[in-house]
Amino acid sequence: MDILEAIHARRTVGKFKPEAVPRDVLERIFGAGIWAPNHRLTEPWRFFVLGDGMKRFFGERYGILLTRNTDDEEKVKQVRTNVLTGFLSRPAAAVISCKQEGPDQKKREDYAATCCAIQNVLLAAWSEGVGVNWNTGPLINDPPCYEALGLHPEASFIAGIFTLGYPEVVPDQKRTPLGQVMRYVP
Amino acid sequence: MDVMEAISTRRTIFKFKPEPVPKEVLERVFEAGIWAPNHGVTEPWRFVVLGEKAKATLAERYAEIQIGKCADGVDEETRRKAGDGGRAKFMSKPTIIAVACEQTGVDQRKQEDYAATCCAIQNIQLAAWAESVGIQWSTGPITLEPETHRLLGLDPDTQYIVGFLYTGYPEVVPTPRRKPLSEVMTFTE
Repeated sequence: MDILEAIHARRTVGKFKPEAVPRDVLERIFGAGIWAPNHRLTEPWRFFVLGDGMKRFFGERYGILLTRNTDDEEKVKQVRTNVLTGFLSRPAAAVISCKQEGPDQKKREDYAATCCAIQNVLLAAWSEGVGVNWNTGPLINDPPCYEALGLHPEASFIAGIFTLGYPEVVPDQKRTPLGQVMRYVP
Repeated sequence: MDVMEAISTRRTIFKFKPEPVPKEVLERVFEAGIWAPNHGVTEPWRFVVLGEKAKATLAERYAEIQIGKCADGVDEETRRKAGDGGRAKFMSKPTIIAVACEQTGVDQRKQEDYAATCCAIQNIQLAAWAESVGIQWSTGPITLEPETHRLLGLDPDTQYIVGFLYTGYPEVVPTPRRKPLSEVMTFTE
């Protein structure tokens, strides 16, 4: 697929067909991530594709976090079941983390590099016919999720939880025209 | 250009041919930026293309910064050379675009808007590469200074300069180095 076509046509996808994404396709998709621009070549990104056990753990944690301020036991149970079922129904799930060590400027640049790696991953996925949803909900700050992946919250940051699959629905999207965000100064 | 080819062959470019990038090419390249993923569709990115006057003003500041990096007690001649070198280096970038990001609201939103702007920059770098245009994404003291913001019509309190994109046709394409994927990717249980 042409790169400009991928950039323009790529959408965040929330509804997937049930088919799994084969392992070799996942490796090509995440393999695109390592080619992000990266000041001082720190290679701060880590990619985790969640197996069934880990996917269940993340789905359960998500339900727990979303109901932590709810007292109604019946409602808690219902939300947790729905969240877990929803998460498990995604054909694939992954985590991308970023090392966060050293001075603030380095941390910022490593986060920036990881965001570029993510954009490479999203575009590579799209060119493989795979849609992705980049989620930054409460799981990205949940210590048990860090621990489960062998990450330390003081040394790494989970930049996102990603669900992937072949799109069932591709949403419309709009953008403000370039002329309103680009200026020329003398 | 194919997606995978653009992603895997793109390099940061430090040495450019002297020709500037034509306006229509620049606008195709930056139009790719606005299609970045963006939570809440806040569209936080701002692109400011530097004209000759702004470029010359910033080149002077860049020269001062290089002089400031000289150790104490360095002689006047060495300081002058450091300044001249810095000025010449800045002026050798054919086209310079400042990319800024709106930074308002709660911390989570600021972080997500910064992430979206980084993704916009990656789109721009890939679209540029497909047009045979190379970029160096530079951050440094000069991009962080309030005076730079004011010169470019940006508000230093709410618009963070994520970087200067030095843009032009590559004179030299550097060789890449990356760890193999297997060292950074895990399939968990």
